[in-house]
Amino acid sequence: MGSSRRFARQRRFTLDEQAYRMSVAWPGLRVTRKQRQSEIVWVGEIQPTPLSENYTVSIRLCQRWCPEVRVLHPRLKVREGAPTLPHLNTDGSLCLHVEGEWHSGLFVAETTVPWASAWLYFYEVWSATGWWLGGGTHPEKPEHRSE
Amino acid sequence: MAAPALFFTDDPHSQMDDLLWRICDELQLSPARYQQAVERYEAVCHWLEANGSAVASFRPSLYPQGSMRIGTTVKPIGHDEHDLDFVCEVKAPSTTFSSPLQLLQLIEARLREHNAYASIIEVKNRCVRLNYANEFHMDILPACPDTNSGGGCLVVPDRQSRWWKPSNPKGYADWFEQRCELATQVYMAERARILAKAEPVPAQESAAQKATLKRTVQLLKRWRDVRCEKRPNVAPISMVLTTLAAYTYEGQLSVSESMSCILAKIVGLTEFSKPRIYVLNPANRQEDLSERWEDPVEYAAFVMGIRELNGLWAKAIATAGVQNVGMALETLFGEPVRVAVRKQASHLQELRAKSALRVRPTGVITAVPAVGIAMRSNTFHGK
Repeated sequence: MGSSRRFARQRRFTLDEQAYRMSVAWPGLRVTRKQRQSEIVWVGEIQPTPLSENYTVSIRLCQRWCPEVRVLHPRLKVREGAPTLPHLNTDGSLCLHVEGEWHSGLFVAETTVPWASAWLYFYEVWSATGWWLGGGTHPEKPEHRSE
Repeated sequence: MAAPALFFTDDPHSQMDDLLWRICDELQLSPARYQQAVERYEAVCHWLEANGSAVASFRPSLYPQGSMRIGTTVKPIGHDEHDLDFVCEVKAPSTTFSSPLQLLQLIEARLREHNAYASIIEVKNRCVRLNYANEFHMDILPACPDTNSGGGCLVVPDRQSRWWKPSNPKGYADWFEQRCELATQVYMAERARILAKAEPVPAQESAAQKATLKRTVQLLKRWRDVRCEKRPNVAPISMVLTTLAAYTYEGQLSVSESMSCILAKIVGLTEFSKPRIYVLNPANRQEDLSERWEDPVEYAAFVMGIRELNGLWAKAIATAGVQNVGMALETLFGEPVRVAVRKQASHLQELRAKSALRVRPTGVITAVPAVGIAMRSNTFHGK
């Protein structure tokens, strides 16, 4: 009994299972590319808060890799006076989690999408105020400055 | 204020209202300062009533009036001290005094007998002011009951005209509170409609509903202060803005919807009222609160200002992007907007840390339980 539970927790979801869960939770995110058992890409709109813009994002999941989120539209803007956008990878994808917070036994629909939404909200607040208030690593960076 | 709960829906008003409440919270007298003001005025009252006081025989009673009484205080631009008005009503008809100045001087003289008050006293046209540095300015307006009119009507001494002017602060406050109550009626009707459909009733405290008009008035006063900072001579007086807003309010529960309604109706009034709008004191219909608009320059400045506000407000509420909304609101209300945006985000982050957030199917983050997907904890990483 105990071992089967552990097995259930550690089981990896297939891309088909990920796609099904996504379609139920986020009907606005559509599969735009799918290669059986190796890669799946969703594109769709996310509005992080009622006053926020609608962002078109792409979410790419490759087997054995972490999901990768990019903002397609509108283009993310660096705040005047800031050197770069906070919490962004050099390839332009969003830095949403640290090691261990995501693994393939989790649904992208229940992790990556809500995290991307939170990222987009904190990005808008950062644009408005110069403060990154969503926490995270690299707290020594200027955008994390606190009162 | 009632703490906003970040119960966001897909409707922009749900977040806008939270933001506007936070802006007002930055502007109004804090609960601690309010308590301090109450203690200060009680002390003044004791001093006026004490044995040996020349005022004591007139049995004075001190009570708040204006924004302090109706809950619409707004911090002035440039300094931290709110202006708080108190009436010092003596139980004697105005005919007891040889002139209006005698009553003003009586109060002033008694306050000057107190060492602490003597050093912070300032004499104004209709009141004696106590300047508590870094706290507030306490204006004490002496008044006599108007025995001819009754119903809370008073007469107050006016130094400039050397005569008595009519006033009715309690009557005005009662009227304003009645206008605020419109929200309760709308809420009860909405609640009955929702219950009939067996949907969950939105959680909202009654104090918060009744304050919708008060918050809208605070925002109007703040807009006036920001816009007229360099031309204070054409700034419409608070009582005119408050009365116009209360007359045109229709009981909306949302501050942003209330603002849209009030502005549209005031702009409508400016179009149909020739030669000008008359804002009469609801507690004394003989009194034209807007008498300064007899000056066409002042009235034209108001009309232009309110139309401009109506346009900018419509744009602000149609704007998408927290940063863009923030910028639009900052033009109208100044620096508290940025603080409000930050406080809203910090509140959201606190709830996120407690795993108390969910995400609606549109992506909208909310503290409403049992909708969409729970937000698991994560750590933003990277450069």
